[in-house]
Amino acid sequence: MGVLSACSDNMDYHEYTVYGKDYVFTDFTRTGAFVTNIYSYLDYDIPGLNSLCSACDESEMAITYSSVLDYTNGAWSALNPKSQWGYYSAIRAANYYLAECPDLDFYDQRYDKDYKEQMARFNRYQYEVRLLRAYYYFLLVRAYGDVPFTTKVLTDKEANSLSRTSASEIFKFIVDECDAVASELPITYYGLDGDAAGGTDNPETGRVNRGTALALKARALLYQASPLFNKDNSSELWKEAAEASKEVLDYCAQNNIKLGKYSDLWGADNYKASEMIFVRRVGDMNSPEYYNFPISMENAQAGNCPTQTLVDAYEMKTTGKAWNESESGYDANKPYTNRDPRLGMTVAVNGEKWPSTNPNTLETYVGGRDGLPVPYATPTGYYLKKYLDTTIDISASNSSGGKRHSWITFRLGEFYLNYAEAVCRYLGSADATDNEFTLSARGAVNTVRNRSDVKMPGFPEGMSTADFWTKYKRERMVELAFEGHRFWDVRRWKDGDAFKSITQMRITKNEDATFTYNRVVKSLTWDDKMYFYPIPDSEIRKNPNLTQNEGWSINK
Amino acid sequence: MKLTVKKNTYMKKYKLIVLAIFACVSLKSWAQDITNVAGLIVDKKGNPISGAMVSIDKNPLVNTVTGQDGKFKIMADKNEVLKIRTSNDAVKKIKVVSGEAITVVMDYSSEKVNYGFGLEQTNAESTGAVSTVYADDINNRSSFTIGNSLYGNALGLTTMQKTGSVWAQMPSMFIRGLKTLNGNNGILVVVDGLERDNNWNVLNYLTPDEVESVSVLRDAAAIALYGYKGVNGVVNIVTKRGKYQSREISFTYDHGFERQARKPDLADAYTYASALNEALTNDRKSVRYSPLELDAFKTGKYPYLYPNVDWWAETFRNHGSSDIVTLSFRGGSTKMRYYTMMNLQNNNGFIAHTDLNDGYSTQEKFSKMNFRTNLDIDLTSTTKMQANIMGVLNEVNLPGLGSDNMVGALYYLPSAAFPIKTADGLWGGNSTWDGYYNTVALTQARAYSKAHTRTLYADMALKQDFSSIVKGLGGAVRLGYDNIASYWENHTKSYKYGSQTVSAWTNGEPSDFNSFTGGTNSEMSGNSKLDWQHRSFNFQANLDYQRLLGIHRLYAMLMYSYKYDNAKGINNTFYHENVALYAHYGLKNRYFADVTLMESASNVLKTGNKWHLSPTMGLSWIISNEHFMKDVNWVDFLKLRASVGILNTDNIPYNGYWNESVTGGNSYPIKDNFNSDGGWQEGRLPSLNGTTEKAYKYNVGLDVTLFKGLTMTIDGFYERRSDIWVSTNGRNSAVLGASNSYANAGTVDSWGTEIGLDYIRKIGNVQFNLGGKFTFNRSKVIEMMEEPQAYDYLRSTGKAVGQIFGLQAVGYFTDQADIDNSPAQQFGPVKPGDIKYKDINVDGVINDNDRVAMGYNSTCPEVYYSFNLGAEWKGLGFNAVFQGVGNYTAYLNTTSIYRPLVNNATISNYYYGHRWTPATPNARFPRLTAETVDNNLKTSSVWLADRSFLKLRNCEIYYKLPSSFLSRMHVEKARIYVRGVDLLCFDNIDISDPEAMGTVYPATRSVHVGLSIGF
Repeated sequence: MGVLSACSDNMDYHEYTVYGKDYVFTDFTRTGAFVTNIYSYLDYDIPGLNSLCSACDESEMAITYSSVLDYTNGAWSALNPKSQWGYYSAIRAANYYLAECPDLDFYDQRYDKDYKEQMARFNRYQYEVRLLRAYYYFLLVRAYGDVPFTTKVLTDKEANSLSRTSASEIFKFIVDECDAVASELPITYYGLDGDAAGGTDNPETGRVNRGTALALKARALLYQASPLFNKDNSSELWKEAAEASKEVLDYCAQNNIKLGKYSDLWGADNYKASEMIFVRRVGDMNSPEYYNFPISMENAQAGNCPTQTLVDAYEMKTTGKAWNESESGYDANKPYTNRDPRLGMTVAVNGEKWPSTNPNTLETYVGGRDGLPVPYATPTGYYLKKYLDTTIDISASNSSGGKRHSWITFRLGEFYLNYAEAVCRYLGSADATDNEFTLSARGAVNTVRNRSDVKMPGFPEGMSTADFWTKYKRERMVELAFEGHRFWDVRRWKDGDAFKSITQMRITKNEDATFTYNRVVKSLTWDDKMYFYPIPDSEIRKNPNLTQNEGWSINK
Repeated sequence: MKLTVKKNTYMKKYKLIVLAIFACVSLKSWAQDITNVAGLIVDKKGNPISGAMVSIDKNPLVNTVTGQDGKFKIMADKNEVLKIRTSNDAVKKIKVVSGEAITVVMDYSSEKVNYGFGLEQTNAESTGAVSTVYADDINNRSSFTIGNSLYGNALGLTTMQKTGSVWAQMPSMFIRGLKTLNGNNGILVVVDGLERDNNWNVLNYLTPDEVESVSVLRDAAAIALYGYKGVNGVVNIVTKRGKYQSREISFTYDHGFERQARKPDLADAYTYASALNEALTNDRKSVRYSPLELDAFKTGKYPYLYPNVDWWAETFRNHGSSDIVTLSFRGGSTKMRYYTMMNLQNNNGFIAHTDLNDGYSTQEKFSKMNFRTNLDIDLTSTTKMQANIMGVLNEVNLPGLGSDNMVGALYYLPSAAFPIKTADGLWGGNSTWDGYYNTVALTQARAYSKAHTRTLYADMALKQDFSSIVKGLGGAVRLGYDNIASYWENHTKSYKYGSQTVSAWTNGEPSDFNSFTGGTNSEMSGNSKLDWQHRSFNFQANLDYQRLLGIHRLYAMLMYSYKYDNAKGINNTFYHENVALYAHYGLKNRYFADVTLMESASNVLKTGNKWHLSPTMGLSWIISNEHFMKDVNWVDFLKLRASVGILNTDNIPYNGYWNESVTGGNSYPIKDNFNSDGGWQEGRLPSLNGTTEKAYKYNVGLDVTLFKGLTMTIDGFYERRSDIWVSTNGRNSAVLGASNSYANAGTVDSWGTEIGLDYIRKIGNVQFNLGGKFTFNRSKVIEMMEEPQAYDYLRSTGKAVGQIFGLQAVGYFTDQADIDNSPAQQFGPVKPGDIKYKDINVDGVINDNDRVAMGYNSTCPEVYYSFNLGAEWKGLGFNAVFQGVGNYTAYLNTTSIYRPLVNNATISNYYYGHRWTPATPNARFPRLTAETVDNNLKTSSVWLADRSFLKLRNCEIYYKLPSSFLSRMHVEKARIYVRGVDLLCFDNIDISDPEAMGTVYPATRSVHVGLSIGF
């Protein structure tokens, strides 16, 4: 069509802009932004509309249109799969970055005055990305067991034919990656010299660090050693898990990461709390408060209401016994006094004035302002406190706007408990120690219970392993409540019976203004197939090499 | 028939004869059998045609023109062929028979086929499927725009109205239904063969008065020359042109009395309050209104505290009016023709009180002025020029701010909300419904806004005959420049509003009150902006060659066209180029063939892949011209047509689809102060190896004229659309981890038929005409790369394009036991009175996997039909057009009407009367609720309705004043009429117009009186 060359320029006319990958990978800032995007896939589950705390026995969702109800009402299926496969986008981004980053020298910026510092930061990106990728694989293996695995940038044909790699190989990959990158990552970015991410002026503290690598390794090994994955009950796996957790404890001890107050774990400054190893920063938000504040408050939606099951896991402060144990000191008429202090910090109960912007005290009893039968009021008798910022005002007229929220990914407290679990399993009793593991399981748990604003009585010496195990599970439920553990812990323990029901508290107000407390059991749908997520049915149909997890196949 | 030469035309005739002699000197067989031929040219209804050119076919310089009475006289050799050409380019050839007066009927076969591009073919020669409707049939709805006057008039054009508001009456238009995916079913609208804008705005700015004809180009042969844009069919609107050697002045005036039909019937205050109480009770909440308050609504005892306002009645009056005035001049001399028109339109809307302000009105007023001049000038005997100019100025005046959404408020605001004004003279308003829901205040205290549209459509063509160089060679160029822009002006006031509510009752009387005030009074403030604009530039050039060699007739054309298009905003600039070779061949006047090789380009296509060849072919066989048909007198015309073509189009998935790219990604608070630099990420995977979407079109058709009055045309078509761009999302595993590319993997089949019938008969003094049109289309998605479905019945593949899927309702839950014993419905909790669905897959639960295909689509009906009838006796006549659709589905989701009470909306009496209650378990609609109950809002059989309808589009009684009477007043002709527009509608929707559904202005019905006078 040479004759038409007069007009052919117009035929290429366009107003959109296309940026090729060179645009990113020749520039420090944009290359950094590419890595930032890989971070953006990091999970957080600050209690909201669809949080997993209400898919297990920590809380019950009061908002009837929440799709988290599907987990416990039978609507969960391979056709409504609650897909976690979005993490493959993060994995592709990581693989893409790792394929592009070798040999970049940012030639055009070589005369920039901070070229050296920029290169130092750039050279570390690859280790951050590998650690993130390992973490994303951990999220997948935790949900699905065996999953398709790749470190390549896939073509669509490859993606549609990839078969599942065994969970143990993926755990090995995670552990190997953590080992490989840990030493390349700094302990902290505060004051890091000669690195554009460091310094003292607004350093990039949101990045993963050495502790993150150690913590991921330790948690991955704990999962691998747990009954769901450790089908032969291999003691060696428990040992590896114990070692990795010990490594985290030692690392924290060396680097001044230590248990602080329980109440410091949330709030606008929680990312600075002394025991944080890695925090997933979210930013300013007030949706958790909108979703979870008591129903009588303007704009509030009740949301994730802690269950009586959870409340019952808090032991008595003076005796250290469970409420229903003999001589525990429990008073059925004053069920919330003399309890583990963490209860008061985590759960809002009837008669309490909470949050501070609430003009009234809570009336969660039947007929009360915050209780049934008010539509969408708490079905359990409680409202959530943990992770919510009591200073946020959600009223239309005085709205305070959002405040900083951060999700705890790894903190020291978890690793004391992980250590305790692993070392008890490995050495066979709560008190046992050996040359390598000089801290006993009991000792580790007690360290947690002894934090400054908790000070719960320690586990007694000489407990049977079974007793230890009972109390350990309670302790873990309490200490890590609403931090995204319970849903998964019960699965890795293959303890599914725990999810067959929850307990609610039905509070009735008596004529003399006292209250009567009755526990009501509500059954939930549980099936052992739910130890793993279903692979989305459409994925099975797209890829003939994919197999479905047991029990989830769709019978047409 | 005896001809007398009138004195005043004598000179003209004389000149002609001289000219004829001059022109014929060179003829070899001059004056062998010369004769004076007299004749009469009439249209198919028998009315005389003035200004028709009659010439000797072999020597066009010998010509004459018919007078007002349709008569002509010409000197011609016996056995010579006369060519008659009317002002709308209908052409007929007829053999001179010595000494006999002839009457020529310009029937179906003589009508011009408006392909555009300077092609001149009649129905007798063409091979394409084209239907044309002429001025007489178009301009009988007293409508302001051409877009709003085509309902049921043009065979093959599925067109419907969307709203009753005059300034936004853009109709929907489809040709041959839905044929492709992604909503790319839009047709191409052209005026005089040029695309004026790609948003169909032209339909809103062209008046019916200036339109000569509208052609619907349906098959491959007909749309071949329109390139990428014409693939879904073309509507070519042809404007009026002048006539040689004549002068017509015409004046028409039309006045319309309008009213809004089927306004929403919303509940009064007491019904609303009772309904809300019932809803809250159903929701297990406490009621809002006490028995005392209900009673107060019922009695109207406290109109300020417990008001009962019919907002529709208070905001609107019952009548609107419209005026249309047209003045046109049409005529010409021997060397030029002109058509000039001025058209003024004015519509006064329905707002009740608009005169309560100083110096301005808040009426919904629409006024428009069109000016058109179409000129044809013969610069020399071989050079012709054409210039067309249309300018439009229009103005819309509306109350308040456009963003106030007054109509939305009218569909929403309960009668019980607040009084129009408080006892203190404040506008009504409160914290639930603020004062800007007060529709009366919006029309009286909110000032006004205006939209002004300025339009210039101008084009010019030059045509040159190069016969002096090569016999039969010609060429033409055409340029068009169009600009349309709309400005928006706001003149806004705000106002203070308030209301009083009762906080306590004592002894049955309100005793304590709360006052509410909001808003502030302000002076009028103003701002304005360019709302939208569109401009385009067209260039066309062609070389053509035509010869008649014995029994062979050949026409060949090399055509080039170029179009530039730009609208406000980004990525709205388009360039298109076409190069075509077109050939038309006729053998013995019986067999015709058209071949087009079209090479098109578009700037949105991939570099290096912009040009694509679209070949088409059409064949026709005029059976009635065969020798064996010679004696079959009752067959006047019989033609069999067939066409096939492969057409490309430039639908694309998104701009720059072939590029590998990186795009902005998500941010993450990486810095200690939670700041972030934003993110970058890999972009959508490039859509490589792409090609264009293609249409394989097949058509067969039959055109017949029988008994000198019955014309019938039948078409059958089949189309396969392939290589449609679809996302590969449905094919690729999420393990890929990327935004999926697009592929040319979609395929859609469509098929259907169009049948048109037209019958004209004169019995005694009565002239009858009857007509009918019927179109049917259906589509089937063959492939769309759909996400795999667990159940076959969930698949859209295999269904029609736009097929609605929904849950099958089986009734309502009667009580808790019924709920407990039924399969669990996973759309949130249900209560008695909520919709109970069928468990299609019998898996014990009801969820989105229990949806099935139901109804048709809600975009384009599969069946579209119309019929018209008329009769005339001694100038007194009537005509009527009915139009209907079938296989069309409505989704009932209008606020308040079908979605009552939620978010403080009101309720329609219809819903209230058909709601579920324990006493009416088989009601039409579910229980009342003030909550958003997802279970009941799912698309289901409850909310789908048959949207077919049959409307009396227009009917008219007219009287043509006798010429004996008129001639005394120097008036050539005059006609008066009374006309009804959209007076009747038969449908299943019951409570609203089936076309104007949703929160829109109700459709209007109108009666018009009019007068037209010709000088």
